[in-house]
Amino acid sequence: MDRSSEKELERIARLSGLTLSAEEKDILFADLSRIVPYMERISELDTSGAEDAPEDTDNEAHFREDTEKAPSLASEILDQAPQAKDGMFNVPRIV
Amino acid sequence: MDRKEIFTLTATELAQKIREQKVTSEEVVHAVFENIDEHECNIHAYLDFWKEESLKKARKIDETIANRGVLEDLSDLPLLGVPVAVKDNLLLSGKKTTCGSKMLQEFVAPYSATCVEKLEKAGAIIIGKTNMDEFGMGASTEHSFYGATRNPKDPTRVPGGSSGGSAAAVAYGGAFAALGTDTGGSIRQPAAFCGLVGLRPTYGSVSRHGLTAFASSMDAAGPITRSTRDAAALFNIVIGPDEKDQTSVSTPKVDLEKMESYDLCGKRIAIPKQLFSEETKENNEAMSRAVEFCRENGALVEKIDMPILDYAIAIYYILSSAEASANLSRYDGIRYGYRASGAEDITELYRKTRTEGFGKEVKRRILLGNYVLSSEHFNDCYRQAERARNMLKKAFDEAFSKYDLLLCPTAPGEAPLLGEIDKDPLSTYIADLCTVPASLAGLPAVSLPFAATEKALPVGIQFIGPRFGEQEILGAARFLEKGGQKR
Repeated sequence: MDRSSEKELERIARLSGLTLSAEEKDILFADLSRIVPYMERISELDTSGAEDAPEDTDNEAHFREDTEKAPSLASEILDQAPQAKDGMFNVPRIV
Repeated sequence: MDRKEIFTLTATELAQKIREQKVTSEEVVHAVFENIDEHECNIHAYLDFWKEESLKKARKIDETIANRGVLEDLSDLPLLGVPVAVKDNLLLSGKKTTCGSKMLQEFVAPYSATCVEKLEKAGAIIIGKTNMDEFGMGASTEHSFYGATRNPKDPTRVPGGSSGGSAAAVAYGGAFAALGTDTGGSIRQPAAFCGLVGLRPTYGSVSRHGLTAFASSMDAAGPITRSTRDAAALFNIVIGPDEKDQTSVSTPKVDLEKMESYDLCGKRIAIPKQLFSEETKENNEAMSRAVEFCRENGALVEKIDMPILDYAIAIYYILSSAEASANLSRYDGIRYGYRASGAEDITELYRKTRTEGFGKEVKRRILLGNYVLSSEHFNDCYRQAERARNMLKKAFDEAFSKYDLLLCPTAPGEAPLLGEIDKDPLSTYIADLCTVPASLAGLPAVSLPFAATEKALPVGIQFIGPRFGEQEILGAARFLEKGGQKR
């Protein structure tokens, strides 16, 4: 968190799909102003020579048979949708 | 067999007694629900439990045994008729899975998690779902939308978290054993605070299919039990590769006889100095006693320097929050879970749903995650933390080339009072120091109770092993359990 910028918090909240109340903003700004500098200490570490990507030494890719399986859970999964219609998820108007 | 006697047995011993008709599964389930009736209103370990359904299952098991006589082969059904609890982020088909969140208040699982299915196939009766910090984010089980769980050892204190409900249920006899999940310590720390054994298995040894994702590169399901033997028994049941989880791998079972005859003599044990502060009195006592015990029994115990561990908390909170912010983007009010009302377009629907559906701690982690993933900070934070994580893994590899085991406290002290933790989130994060290193490196670690504080609160110590080193860490833990506990 840019320590001086509440705008940064608002921007991250927007990217996160969250709306923060004034009270939440105050609390989160205070929390993150302490948490973020602690996390940013990581930048002082010399990581030259270390790999970028996670090193998965012994986790090999697994393959499964390319066979057709019945989509047996489709209706149960659709039952969990807040709104469904004609076998589809129902959403507010998009365009 | 009376209620008291039932609870002197391990889960597998109990299954044997049920099989031999020395006790019925119905009596056992009754005994567990008597404890639930007595303690649940005060402790609030469960979000849901099913007494009649569980008794019905128990009676069916008893009838099968009565009709077929004593079944010789125990290996297929090692938990026959034993009541077990499951954390509420593990799916159980047909039952609600809320993850302690308003977001999933009405969500009913359409299938079961692989590890839960395996428990049921082993004969266990899943009697209920336990309380947890929302989506596993927290260390006290106070961050549950459904209210806090209290510690049965002292109800003014937290049980730890995020698997605090599982630990509390086992601690008061509301289940014989439980499954928890551990991303940064959520099995081991509540086990330590409630005086139990908690095993975080090697990453990939237990399928994550049906475990609601928090930080996918670290999430692991594992047992919380009253003994190391139960932890090993449950571990043997839930492990194994699963085509529904690409990171799951074939893992050797723990040989229970070898575990029983394990000897510390000649073992090399290291204590990373970054994970043990002699200033904390409770830990000092537990660790001093553990070290003394190991040395008396012929082990070499040395302090080692692992400077990268000074960054473990930063690495963990950067990576776990980044993964959480991505994983939790699925909660948008469209496919399942909570949907806010009154939104005029889809963007507003997403925003209102997430704003109303998530709690305070989850929002904090999502914001932190999206901060470190945003283009301005990606290289300095996220990528740097990935590199540092690889350095940490190498530091562990190096340690295990010289030592059989690592030993450290599970938590910095005893269970905090209710309400104490929430005052300062950064200090709470820093308190995860002893548990996050094994999580980041994908290593197995077991916490066992090894001392009580002056207030008679349990304190845990932890053995960390190399990948697939469950035999070693559980052997050592069993050795200490047999000989070193203050009873």
